Amino acid sequence: MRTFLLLFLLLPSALYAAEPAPLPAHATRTEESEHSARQTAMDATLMLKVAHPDQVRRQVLDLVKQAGGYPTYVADGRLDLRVPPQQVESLMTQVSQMGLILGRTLQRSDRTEVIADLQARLRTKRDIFQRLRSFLDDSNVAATLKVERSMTALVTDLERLRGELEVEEANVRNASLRVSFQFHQERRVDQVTSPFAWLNTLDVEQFLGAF
Amino acid sequence: MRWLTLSLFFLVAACGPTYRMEAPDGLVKYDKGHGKFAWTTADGVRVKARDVKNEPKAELPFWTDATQRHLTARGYTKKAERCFTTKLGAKGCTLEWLAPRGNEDWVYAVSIFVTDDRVTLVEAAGPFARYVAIEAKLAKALETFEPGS
Repeated sequence: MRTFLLLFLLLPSALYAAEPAPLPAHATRTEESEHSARQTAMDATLMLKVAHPDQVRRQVLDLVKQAGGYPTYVADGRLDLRVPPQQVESLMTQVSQMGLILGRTLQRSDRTEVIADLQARLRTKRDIFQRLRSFLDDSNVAATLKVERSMTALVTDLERLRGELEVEEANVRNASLRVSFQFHQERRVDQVTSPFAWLNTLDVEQFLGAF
Repeated sequence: MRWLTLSLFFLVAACGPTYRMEAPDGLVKYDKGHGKFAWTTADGVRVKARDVKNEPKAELPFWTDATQRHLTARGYTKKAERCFTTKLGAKGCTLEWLAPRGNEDWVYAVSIFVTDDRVTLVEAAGPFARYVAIEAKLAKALETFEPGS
């Protein structure tokens, strides 16, 4: 009975501690941010028009392999690649020289706060989990069932947080680079009227129709 | 005699300007017997010339700029621009564009020559890889182009 009462007193406070941004966790996060380098994720795209996409695709894959990267998606018109962040700009320059550049973007986002927050929440949940496990040793059946229910919920949270953290860390470890070879998938021709009549006759379809 | 003069006038008017260009390697004339200035490669890159009125009357830089603005607004993406003087001294500018066409990327090129009240356009189009294969030959041939009179 004493154990049961103890559980009733401890569980709400333990679960409250699991809420985001608890004070000790926040303090730890600040310390970590100060002592470690900023964690940056890079996302780059390159739209390239080449006469022989098959040949260029092979060359790009070879370059990426040499740079320590790997493909995550390979198709006729597109390559999705993961490459070490320090190699991204050099790779983009090399790939750009293989054809006509139609578009180029490079985006950096600071994930330091997000990663620190996920790490702190994960630590807090793990602590709660350990505390709950210790209650199991000397509790009765009803209390055990309650503790088990709480632990099951915590395991789900832990798995989700661990997954999110792994994704964030992977995004920092390797930059994402998408090389697209097909222009028609990104653009379309609109009907726009010019005040100069003959300009309205400039059109690939009209040209082919009148040939 | 009056009928003969009138007939000759209409014949000349119907024929329109006489364009001339040295045959580019890989392209053959494709006039279907009605005297059009049209060329094609075996794999379907097509080239054809036509005249439009220089209205409002303007010079080559104006029409090059207007063409560029219009095709950009339509969603074409500029591939290249090249201005040149032909062997006979005519000034021309070629604007090459990328155009999405079905499941393919095409190149659509417009070369502009301005002669008094006429603007002569030499248009060319073909799937990207096929066009790129002949673009240097076509550029060289265009330097021999004569807009005619």
